[in-house]
Amino acid sequence: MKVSYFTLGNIHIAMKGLFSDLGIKTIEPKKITKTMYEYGIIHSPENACYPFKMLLGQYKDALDRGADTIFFMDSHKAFGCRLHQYVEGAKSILKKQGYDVRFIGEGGYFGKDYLFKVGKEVNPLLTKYQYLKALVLWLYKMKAIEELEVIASDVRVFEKKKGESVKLLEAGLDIISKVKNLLQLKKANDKIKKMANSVEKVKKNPLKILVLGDLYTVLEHEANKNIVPKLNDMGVQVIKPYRFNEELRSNSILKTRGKHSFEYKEKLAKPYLKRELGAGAFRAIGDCLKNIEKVDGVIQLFGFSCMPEIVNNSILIEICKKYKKPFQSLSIGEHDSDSSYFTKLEAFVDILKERKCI
Amino acid sequence: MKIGIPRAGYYFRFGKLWKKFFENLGYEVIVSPKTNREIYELGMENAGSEFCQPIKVLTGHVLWLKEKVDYIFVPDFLGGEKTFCCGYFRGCSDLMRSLSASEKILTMELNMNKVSKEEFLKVAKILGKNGEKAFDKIDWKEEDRLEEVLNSKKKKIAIVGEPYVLNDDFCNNGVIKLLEENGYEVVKSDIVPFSKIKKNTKDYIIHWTEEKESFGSLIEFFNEDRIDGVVYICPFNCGPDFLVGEIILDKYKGVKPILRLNVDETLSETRTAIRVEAFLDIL
Repeated sequence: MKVSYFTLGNIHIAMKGLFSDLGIKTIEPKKITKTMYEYGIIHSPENACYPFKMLLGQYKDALDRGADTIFFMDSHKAFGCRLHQYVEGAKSILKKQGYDVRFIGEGGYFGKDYLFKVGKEVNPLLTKYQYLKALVLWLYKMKAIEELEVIASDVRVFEKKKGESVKLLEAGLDIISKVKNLLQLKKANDKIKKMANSVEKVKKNPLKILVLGDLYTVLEHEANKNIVPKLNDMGVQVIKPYRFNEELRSNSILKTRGKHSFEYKEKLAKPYLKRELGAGAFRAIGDCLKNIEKVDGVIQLFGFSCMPEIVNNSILIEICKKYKKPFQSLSIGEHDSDSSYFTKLEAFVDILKERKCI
Repeated sequence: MKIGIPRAGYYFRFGKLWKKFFENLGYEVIVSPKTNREIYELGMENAGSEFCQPIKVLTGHVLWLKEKVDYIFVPDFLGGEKTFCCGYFRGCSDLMRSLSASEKILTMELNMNKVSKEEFLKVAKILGKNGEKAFDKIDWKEEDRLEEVLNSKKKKIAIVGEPYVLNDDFCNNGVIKLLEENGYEVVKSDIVPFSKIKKNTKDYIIHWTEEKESFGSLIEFFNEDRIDGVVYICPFNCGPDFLVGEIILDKYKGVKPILRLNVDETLSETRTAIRVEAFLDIL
């Protein structure tokens, strides 16, 4: 059995660690390219959404390179969203194309023993203790990676010599990928912080933009066309409150608490939206209300035809009107071109600069 | 005091129930007229460009009612048995509040397969009344008209889609009118009883309420000998219908002639008519 998985930002590094801890062979997924996306567009149904098309292409690429099993966490909690059909859809489409594929991880965000069963098949000596240890390390590695991305993006705004942040990100990912236990992870985190502090910085007062949107488009760099470094280069500090590891931890005892907890965000969002619509749309409103006072503008990113985010769109406009903050929504899909996307982005940043007199 | 009910969305299924309930409570009920140009354009202008057509039409109805009534009744549809409704209908009341910028929205949580008394009582409480009697006075049950329609002597064409698409000529681009003009008996999928849908779909993993209904009624019509052809109609960008074509239509390929129509505001009536007529020629 050879397992392949999806990319989401840089967290596939943590995935690789998890599978090697469980003793499962993997085929590493490649970055999503135009060819993969086009495969997805051609073979998926007309009403499929943007992330589905991208993932389909990525799976096909991995299957061509010898994988026979795909790890994908779809959620049966994704109430009003297409996410919960991803596995069935991809399975039936790939089957028609002649691929014999098995999906694991179906039906749940963390907490179920799917992976344990799979690990046991391959490696009969696997114990529950080993399994839990690997899972916990996986989650915290993911957390470390996502924090590293934030640190690197902040450094990119202030760095004196261009390119330091890229080096920092690469070095950091390299350190995290070698981590074997939680103690080493803590040391790695300290080391990364030290490295970030040692970068020479210029003092300035940058624009701050809040980036919200649907899970996949916000987190996957290829899906949002590397919006974060692009904005950083324009001199904008990006606040991206969405964390995938928090989403995975939310059902377990490791969930976030206090002002970072989902309950708190949901309480904030209640006056504007009554319930979860899927793919974190409910909490995005909480995140928006939590951060809106300290930012200069809000950008909403979503794949074309994402239903929860289209509902969110009109609610976010309402909130931004109330707090008098500029708002820009960017929907990405096969219909739009790179140049229109970046022109919109640049125009928006220009408006914010005018407003702030930078 | 006046209560407005938009004639769009799931009004076509539950409308009579809502209307009776509010009338029993002693309010004047205003139901917006059938979708016309004015309402349609009101919706197109004010709703965001990415919504599906039925939601745009619903927005038009809400805006039409806005100045004329004290409350506009827009329930949230949570889902049915182990299934969930589409995201637009789950957050319907909040969506309409922000699109129409009006605080007049009156809402309740609605289950698609079971009418719960408690939720109706809650609505009555918001209005400051006791709804117990008003609710008990309603005798509401779904009638099974399927057999009656199937026994008619004309040639029959089944049309599958959501109730708000089938019953609104603006949402279905006049397909039903066209079929009837050509002398066919149109069997709409919203008269297929829930028990049959449940029986037909028990082998499939389904998460959407709308999808379940489409699946169930498509299978019902494919297996029914008295039906000559099937038209499957869905709004552009419809989430729940995302896998219907992939799973059901491909499985039953060649069983019966089928026409698949994706409708949106850019599709003209002439183009729909040409496709429907070509389909009728095949029959």
